[in-house]
Amino acid sequence: MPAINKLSQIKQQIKNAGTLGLSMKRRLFLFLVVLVLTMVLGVIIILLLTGTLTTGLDAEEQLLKRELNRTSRNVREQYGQLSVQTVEFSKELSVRIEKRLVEKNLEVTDIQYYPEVLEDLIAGEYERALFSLQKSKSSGVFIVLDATVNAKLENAQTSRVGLYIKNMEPNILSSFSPTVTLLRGFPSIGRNFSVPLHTQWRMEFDISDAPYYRLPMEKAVKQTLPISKLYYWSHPITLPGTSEEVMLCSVPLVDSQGNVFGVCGFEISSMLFKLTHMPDNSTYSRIFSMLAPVSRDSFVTSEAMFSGGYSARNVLLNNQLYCTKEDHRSLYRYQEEGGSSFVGFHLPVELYPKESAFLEQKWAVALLIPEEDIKNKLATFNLRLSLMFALLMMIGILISYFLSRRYIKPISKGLDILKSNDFTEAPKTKIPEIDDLIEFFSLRNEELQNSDEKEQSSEVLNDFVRNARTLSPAERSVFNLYAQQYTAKEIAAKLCLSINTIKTHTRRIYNKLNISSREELLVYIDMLKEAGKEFK
Amino acid sequence: MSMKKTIVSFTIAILILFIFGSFTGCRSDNVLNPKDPVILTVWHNYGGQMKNTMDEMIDEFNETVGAEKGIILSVTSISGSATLHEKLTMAANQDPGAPELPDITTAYPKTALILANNGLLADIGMQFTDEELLAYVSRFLEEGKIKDDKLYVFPTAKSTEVLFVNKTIFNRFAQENNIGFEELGTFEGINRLAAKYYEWTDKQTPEIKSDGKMFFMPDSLFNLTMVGYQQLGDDFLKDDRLNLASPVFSKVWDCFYEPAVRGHAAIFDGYSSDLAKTGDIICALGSTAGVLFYSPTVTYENNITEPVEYVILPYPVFEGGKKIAIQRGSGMCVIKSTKEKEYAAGIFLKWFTQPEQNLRFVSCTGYLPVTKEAYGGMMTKEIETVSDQNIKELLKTAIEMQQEYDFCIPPLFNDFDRLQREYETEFKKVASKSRDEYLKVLGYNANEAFNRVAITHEQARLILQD
Amino acid sequence: MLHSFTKRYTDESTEDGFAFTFYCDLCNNCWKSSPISFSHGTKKSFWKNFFGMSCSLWKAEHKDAFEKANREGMLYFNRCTVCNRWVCDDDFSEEENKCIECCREKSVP
Repeated sequence: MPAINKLSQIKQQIKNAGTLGLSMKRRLFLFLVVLVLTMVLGVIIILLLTGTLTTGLDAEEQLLKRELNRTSRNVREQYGQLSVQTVEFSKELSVRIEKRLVEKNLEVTDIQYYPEVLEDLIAGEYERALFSLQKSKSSGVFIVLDATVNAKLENAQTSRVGLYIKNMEPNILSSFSPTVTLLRGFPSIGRNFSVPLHTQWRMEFDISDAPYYRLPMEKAVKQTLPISKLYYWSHPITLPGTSEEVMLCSVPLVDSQGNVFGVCGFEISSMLFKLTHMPDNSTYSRIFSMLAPVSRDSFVTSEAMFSGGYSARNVLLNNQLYCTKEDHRSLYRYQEEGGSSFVGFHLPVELYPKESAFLEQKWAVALLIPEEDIKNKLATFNLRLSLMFALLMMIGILISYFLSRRYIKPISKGLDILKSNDFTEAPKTKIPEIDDLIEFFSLRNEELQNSDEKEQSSEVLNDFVRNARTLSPAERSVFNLYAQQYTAKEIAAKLCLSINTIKTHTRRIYNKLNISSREELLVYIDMLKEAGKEFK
Repeated sequence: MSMKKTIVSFTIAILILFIFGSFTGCRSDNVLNPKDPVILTVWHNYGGQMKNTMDEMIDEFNETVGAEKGIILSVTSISGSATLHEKLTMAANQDPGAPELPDITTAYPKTALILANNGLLADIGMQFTDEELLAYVSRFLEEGKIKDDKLYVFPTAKSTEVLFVNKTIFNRFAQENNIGFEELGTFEGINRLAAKYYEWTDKQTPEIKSDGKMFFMPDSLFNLTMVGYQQLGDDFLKDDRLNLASPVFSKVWDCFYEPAVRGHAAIFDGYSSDLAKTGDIICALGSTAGVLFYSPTVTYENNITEPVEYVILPYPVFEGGKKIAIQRGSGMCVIKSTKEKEYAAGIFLKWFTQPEQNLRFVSCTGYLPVTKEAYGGMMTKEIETVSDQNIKELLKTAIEMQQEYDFCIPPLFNDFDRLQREYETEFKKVASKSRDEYLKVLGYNANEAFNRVAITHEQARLILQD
Repeated sequence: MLHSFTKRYTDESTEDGFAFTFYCDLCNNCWKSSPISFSHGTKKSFWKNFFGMSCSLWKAEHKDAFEKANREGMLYFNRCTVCNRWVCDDDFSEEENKCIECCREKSVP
């Protein structure tokens, strides 16, 4: 209800404003508001023109680009270094194994026929492998030989002997307790070197679905490339029985005769990748970097490595992420089919040298943020900006309101004083124009009062003279004598009339002349004398 | 007029405050902002097969409660408990090259004590009401109050020790020798079985003498001694020192020394599960937390594999002793930081240990539930849904032990680690040495050989004395 | 005899004081003057001065008192402007400044 009343009040005020004109206060207020609005709009326009408003987004883009460059560099470095070390490891290992076999009068092609030498052979390489592992700062080292311990077993075709040492904490210099475990290999190695067996330990490698084993060896056989061009980076895989995705860099083991007898290499686990390439998430908490194979024009996210504050894997439902470029913005947009969309940048990264056998494998590093996060940030930014301007305007309006009130107040007071007609006690308004006006009016008022009085008194006098003409002769004579300041007794004596008679006459004279005392009469006579209106 | 003015200025003040508040995006202490989430880094030691479960649960939290309240958990390290201890100690002491402490970490009480002594831990009890705390098994909470009666270690992964028996192989053995599982209820019984097993396996290769296989191995000799003492009514640790003078000592000593020397029990520096994996032992005394290490496949020397089943029995008791087992396990500690991080950590811990999530975690890891409700009716019902057979077994045994056993909590004092380490090292060294000597003089008569090399209880006491 | 402003008067003076009564010229309305006491009153020589009413002081004072009484009396009677008779208020018309007889006469054609 009070709202309705207020509304009708306002309506009334607006109507009044239409007919009567706006009050001073309202006028001033509106003028000030217009001024404030103009200034604020002006500021906004200036900001827009000089581009200050839009740099928010630009700064973000710069940030992302820089971060991407950094990540891309790091990835290239890490993968590059590891590739180099894998090649070195392979060369060294090939030489050593060949030598040890030669000592036993064997060749590398014989190992599958002499399974009993395998255990010693591999155990002999343990320390070297462990050392290389620690030097490479990777999360695992492996050696797979093209042989198996027990050829009579059912799965002997897909079982290969070897060694796999995993380092759980590659980026910690651990002095006391070993962080390595044996994922594959002879248990005796574990016992002899005090290495615990991994929870998912098996003795041999299951190569039924192992491109990291098959491909380098195939390429080595087919082509005559040097080892350095034959290293292969597997797509992220989960080794059978394990629960973590890893990328393996594997290089074929080739002896001096060119016989290929196995592979070896290093591992980058998802955890290692995550810890090494964590992007700066101070602005966007859901930012993540991704190393993914590129197929045609999309990223194959099911075979990518991620690094981010939280599991990006849950954000991606599908296997493919398409990249589109928007024209009006320089951030790229990445879209899943029927899934989430992201914005960010990407750069292709070369994992392989020019003449590599695996050059057709394309990879890229991308830095992505879920689209809604950017939108939210933008919205928040815009909201803040608009709130700021709204606040500015409101403050402006309020100041206008108070200023107009304060300005008008003394003027209203002055007007009230003028209206009140009470000039004697009027306080000074301290506004020269108004005080002047008050002064002027008070003088006029006095003058008016005086002329009023004068008007009044001549009126009265006229009345008196008129009335005096109505006196009877007898009364007249009494009146004349009164006018000459005779007392009643004297008049009685002079006219030879009784006092009663005189009293009667006097009463009648008073009635006719509308007076009530002798003094009044005398006053009137005086007035007449002054006005020059003597009469007899 | 002046009243109106007051109202107006008041409204303005509030409006300005509100707008500036939304600007700086400042949060009051206990209010998390879903638009600007808090990121908590987590270290844990649930690796291997447990990793998947842990990952899934953390993802689920991030997507549900986390997204709702503005909390993101990020795991930055998964390592074994020993490594974790070292990392945390290094970080607490700010050693060069030490990593930065996370916001939440799993830790054993002994590690937590080091952190607490450096004033690095937050009192988790502050994030729970008294009523909420009542839901948890009280002795777990007690164990977590490691200093100043403050809850520094919140129970998330408790464990005790049980007997893992390779049922497949044991059945073969038992059937041929008319033996039942009951013998495995006492230490003395185990030793008797060990002797028989040795003979049985020796006979499998008649052409080779004295190549009988080892029967069992205790993961922790120290725990065995400590709990054994308690079972027999004494205390192994008196005034922070080993109470070797006790008459109980001889029983405990005999329980391991002789079988080890004779080759019935394994002397090994690693985990008993490693030996179990290769069929070198068929009976292991280890933590429930190690259940996943007992793989359903045993790999013999020549890469021959055999699928096996395990049965999990309650912790053995010395004959005539009380049913007592150890209470161990880690919990989660919250590193002191900002109030909102600590609050967020509290929310996660509450969610993580709610019976539903707790059971899910438990059913994939072999740790024990931490709430009374979980041990109650809910547990027996949920057990049927557990997919891993071993864990199913384990949980059933855990319920049984929860009802029938008393639990002994290892004491916490600074020298404890060293005492434990040295005791086990010396014990194994002595046993190993005796074993070597035994093998040298082993002819046809095992007993004679043993008597020649065996050291007396007194000698043992002297060697083991700190 | 003394001459008063009215036609008839009576003298009530004694050796102690002087008092007179004046009568309206037309009716019997009268007015008594305020007594004025003789300066040498009787009590002393009553027998001597009673018959010698010809004491000159008493006669002089008597004369003064009589004039005074006349002057005083005039204030209670009105003189007709036509016949000059002194009449009381009842027999006088203030309006016409005449006695009622002159007013009547006038009105008779």
